[in-house]
Amino acid sequence: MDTVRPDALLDLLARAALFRDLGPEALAEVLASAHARRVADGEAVFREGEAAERFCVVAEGRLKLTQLGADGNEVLVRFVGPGEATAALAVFEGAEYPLTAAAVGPTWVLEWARAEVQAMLARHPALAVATVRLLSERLREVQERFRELATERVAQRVARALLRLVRQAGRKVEDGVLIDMPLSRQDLAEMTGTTLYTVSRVLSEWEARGIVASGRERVTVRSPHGLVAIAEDLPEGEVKAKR
Amino acid sequence: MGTVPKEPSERLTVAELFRRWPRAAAVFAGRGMACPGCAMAPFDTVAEAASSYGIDPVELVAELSAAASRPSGGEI
Repeated sequence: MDTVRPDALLDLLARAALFRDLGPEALAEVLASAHARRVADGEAVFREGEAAERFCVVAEGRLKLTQLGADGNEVLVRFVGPGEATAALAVFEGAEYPLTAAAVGPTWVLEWARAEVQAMLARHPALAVATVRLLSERLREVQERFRELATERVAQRVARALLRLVRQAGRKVEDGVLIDMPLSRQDLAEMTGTTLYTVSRVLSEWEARGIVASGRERVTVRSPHGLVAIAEDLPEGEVKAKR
Repeated sequence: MGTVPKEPSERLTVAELFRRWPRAAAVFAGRGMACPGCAMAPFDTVAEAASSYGIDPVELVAELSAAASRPSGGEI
């Protein structure tokens, strides 16, 4: 893909949680002030610690948001898919980017400079409300993960991380629900605050029980209920894999 | 896709069912099923959800139909 079509972008924005309450004219205006940028696999859109100048929405592909821990280990905070925004908070604070955003596969992003974002928010109250909603959702997500880290077993945290990814990128396939994006065991370890060794042990056990199948950076949930039962601590008496 | 279901059926996905009949969520909750709000609701059918919990799908659909046909406003 060498270019992005403007009508496809308008369509994407019209469906995005942040922009869907705007009318067609406002949407066109918002899109007109955006800068489209192509990012190669692994390339960073912005880095942790840099001055936060731009607000960003993924048009195509996916970004991986990571943070460096004190020990130099990476923590995977979340993935950002098409129509989703990132770096909203950084722009309003005029602060530094709190994380690094790198492309997973070839990716297109739309960017707005701080002054443009401020002008858009002033002109379109619906956008300001949607931004507050987005920020509170992110906060809720962080609170949830904090609780998970503080109180839950590793297996439960891995199950919840997979369910979050199902919500973001799940696709029904013949043998279950595929998480339709590249996802390594190392990614899962970084998302759940544990080690590659532990994630491998957990996934191998689940594979043996027919709950998931994994390979080539892809995870398929073969027993949706089996995974939910682990995540929610339900009785697992009737865990069944798809035949 | 595109057709609006007229009554609860075991072939609908759980998410379609909840969209069309929000009160179905109470039936699931009453049976101790964790389907309302579940990430898997768009992917599993009512029949699959029932079988996961060892519930007879015919019985569940009957209960869902009864809840769907109850006049609205009569309960909280």
